[in-house]
Amino acid sequence: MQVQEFIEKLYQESQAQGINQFQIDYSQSENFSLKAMDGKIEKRSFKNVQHLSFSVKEGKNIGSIESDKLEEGDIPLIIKEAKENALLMDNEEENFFFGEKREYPVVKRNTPIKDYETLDKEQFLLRLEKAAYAQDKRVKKVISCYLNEGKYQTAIRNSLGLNVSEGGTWAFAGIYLSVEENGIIKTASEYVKFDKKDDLNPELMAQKAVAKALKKLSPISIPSGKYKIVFENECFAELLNVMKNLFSATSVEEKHSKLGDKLMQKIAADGVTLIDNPLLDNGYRTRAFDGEGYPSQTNVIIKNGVLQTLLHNLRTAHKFGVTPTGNGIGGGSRGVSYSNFYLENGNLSQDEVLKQTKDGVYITDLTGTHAGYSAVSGDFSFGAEGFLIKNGKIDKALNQLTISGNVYDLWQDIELVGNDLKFTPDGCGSPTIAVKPMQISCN
Amino acid sequence: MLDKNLVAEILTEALSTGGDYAEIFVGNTLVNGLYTSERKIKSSSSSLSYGAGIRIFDGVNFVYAYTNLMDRENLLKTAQIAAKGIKSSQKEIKFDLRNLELEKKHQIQKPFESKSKKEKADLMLKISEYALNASPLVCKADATYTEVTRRTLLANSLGVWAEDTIARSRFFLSAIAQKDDVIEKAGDNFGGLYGLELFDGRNLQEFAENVASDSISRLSAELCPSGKMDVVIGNGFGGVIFHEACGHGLEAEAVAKNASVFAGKLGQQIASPLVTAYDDATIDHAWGSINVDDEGVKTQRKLLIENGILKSYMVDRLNGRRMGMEPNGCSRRQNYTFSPTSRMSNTFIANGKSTPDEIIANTEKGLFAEKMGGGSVKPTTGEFNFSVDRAYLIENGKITKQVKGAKLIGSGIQVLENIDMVGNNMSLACGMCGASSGKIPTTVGQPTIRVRNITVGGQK
Repeated sequence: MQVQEFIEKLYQESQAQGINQFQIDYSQSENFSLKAMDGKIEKRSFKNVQHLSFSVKEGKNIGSIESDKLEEGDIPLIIKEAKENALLMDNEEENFFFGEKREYPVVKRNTPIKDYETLDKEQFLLRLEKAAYAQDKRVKKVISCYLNEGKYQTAIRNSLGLNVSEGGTWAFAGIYLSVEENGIIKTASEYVKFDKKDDLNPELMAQKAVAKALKKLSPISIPSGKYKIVFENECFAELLNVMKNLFSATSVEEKHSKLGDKLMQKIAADGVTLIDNPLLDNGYRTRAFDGEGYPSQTNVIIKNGVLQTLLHNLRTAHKFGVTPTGNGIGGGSRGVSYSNFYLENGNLSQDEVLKQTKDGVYITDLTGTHAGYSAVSGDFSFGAEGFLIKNGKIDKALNQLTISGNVYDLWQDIELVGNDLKFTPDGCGSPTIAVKPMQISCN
Repeated sequence: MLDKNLVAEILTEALSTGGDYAEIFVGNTLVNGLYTSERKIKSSSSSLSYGAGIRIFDGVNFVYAYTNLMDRENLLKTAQIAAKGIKSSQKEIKFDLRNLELEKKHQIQKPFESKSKKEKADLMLKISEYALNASPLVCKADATYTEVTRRTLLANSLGVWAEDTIARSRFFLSAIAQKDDVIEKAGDNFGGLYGLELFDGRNLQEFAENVASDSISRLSAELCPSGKMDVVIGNGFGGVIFHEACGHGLEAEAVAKNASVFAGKLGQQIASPLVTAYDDATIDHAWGSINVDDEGVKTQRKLLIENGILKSYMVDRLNGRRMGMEPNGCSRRQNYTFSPTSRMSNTFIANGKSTPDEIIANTEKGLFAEKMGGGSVKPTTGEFNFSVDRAYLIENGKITKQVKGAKLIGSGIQVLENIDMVGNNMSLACGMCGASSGKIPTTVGQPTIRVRNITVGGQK
């Protein structure tokens, strides 16, 4: 059965059953990926899937069912489950579907440029792998050498008249490898998001990845203690990804954020500006509307250290008495989502940040971030990799590290903000950041 | 779930371009979840996943294609698209699909549908109430309950036709305690291959009160000191270190690619002679158990390490080809959207001879990591990092202050060599393990153990 036909039948059947308010979220995605290993294309993968979420509002609550089984015979079950879930919940705050007629912003997304079609993807990957081994004889293993491309389409339609859709494409390629010297093994990776052939330079990618890994060899140990810290841009972006929930209204409700009563108060150092911008040109998470169909808008969350707003969906905005910020999630989740979430550039180059820091530790990678953070207290302790900073320059690599602190202190302790904003594929971005001394342990 | 003749047609189509092995996996999973908080039913969710993945081998290279458009035409088209990725000489492969005889263990007693969602939610609210009533310091108690029914079919060009159904359920409770500005959270859970009998025979009040008192005791915990120390790791979830720092390195996925520190070390001493460890997917009703793996091989109990000597790896079909070894029933995937690979099931360090009290009493100065949190490892280097969820200082052979924010770092080999006491109180604990073939339920386990000289990262 064709998808449009299925959605139409589900819509008709819901109306026929007298369901007053309901919504259908539909997505479809296709993906192609390649992996090279030992001079051969080891894996080719193809995907073509669809997903549906059907939601019903009964009283104040919205109940849903997620399904990727779109068969006509299942329509009664889908309606029954969603309705049953809605009737079961006893939240006092009202949930909403969005149905206002609104203008939607036009956003600019990456689109594949013609010359990409002429790219021999398999040859590119084989060249990338070969180039990595050719860089240096200390390259032990190219662990992963991959290319991924895909397209997606999402649509939301509800009984209040909402009927929106958007789609996009994406492509990226990367390499992850290890190097070995005197029994010490270190790893590094490099990836590129691309939309034209010229974005892909296998020799340059291999060179960057190998250089990153080689720098980590011959690590030294330092005594445990407090050190001034400089975070590499991508590394601080990863940290933002860990602590972004601080700014969601749902986290405040769940006591996973202490920022609920800090609006218009100074929660971060001067010069710190934090933004969630779904309208960013060619961003990883650029979108015209959120998961509830609300039009996207740019939200300045922290301006010069002062908290301006939390991020809301339709329900929390109503509860907190504010306008929605366009950060809703649809389907069964109804939580708060982020788009392109980043710290705005300052005006110092990375070299200048290091120079002004003079002595300390430069952190390039964090590990175990999913486990070492307590959302209720804000305390964190992560594994890390990094280098010594000596006389304002990056010096020797360090043995395995841990770095510990508290996120609320961290925002206040930011001392210098670089001008080299970079995004990671999860949509978070940051320039190089220097902070006051933090507790470091070294293996 | 699919007709045998259609499946045979799909496999034949998949082999049409010279592949030497083809399989189709069909997964149909129903998940229901409930979440209660603030004395309310906050969420009730359902999800239905149904789709198929087709895998074709050409030596050690392979193609994986998946879809959830399950009509005959699209399934055959998916097989064709997959076959286009193989360019080899045509092989003579004849197969006759025969049912794989399985001992269907882990049957549930009380089906999920034997109680309404409302009745289940009411039980959750009752358990939460025990935690809230334990102390005025407990300001929030959240409960989560998930039940999963996973039906699978695996058919391949070796003639295997394996169908199975596994049902599992898990309950979580967390409590938040607050005193002035200090807020702390604690949680615990239980789960397994059970229906609603999951809740039977347990003292649910005691369980909830323990979670509550855990959250309260954290309010007065001090910051953990940093530095190298002897660490006593508690039983049960403490086994997560073995899972991460050693288990992943024994998966053929890492070994075959020479991306594991344990590659090429079969028969060698890789751990202290006190260490014997197993991966056993056959334990009755254990959270990580399965009857048949996701490429149609029956599961088994595997001795991984015996008295410190490496005895075997966990081997899947594809990596087995790379290593010249037979698959041993450990190939798993989250669902049809992942191609399977070697994964753990119930992985644990076996009992030793010391009592937990002896281990503490013999430790002059160190950290007692009673309950571990999560962590991660790089299989290539064996370097790991772990959070400790609940920890205490050990001074002069006695447990003294509770401390918070401890992180353990080191390498798997270092830890395995430095285990110098193994307790006699082995227990298992549930977890979810994420890797290249998705998130799957696994069990970790161990008795209380002592490891010399681990780097502890704290905030002090």
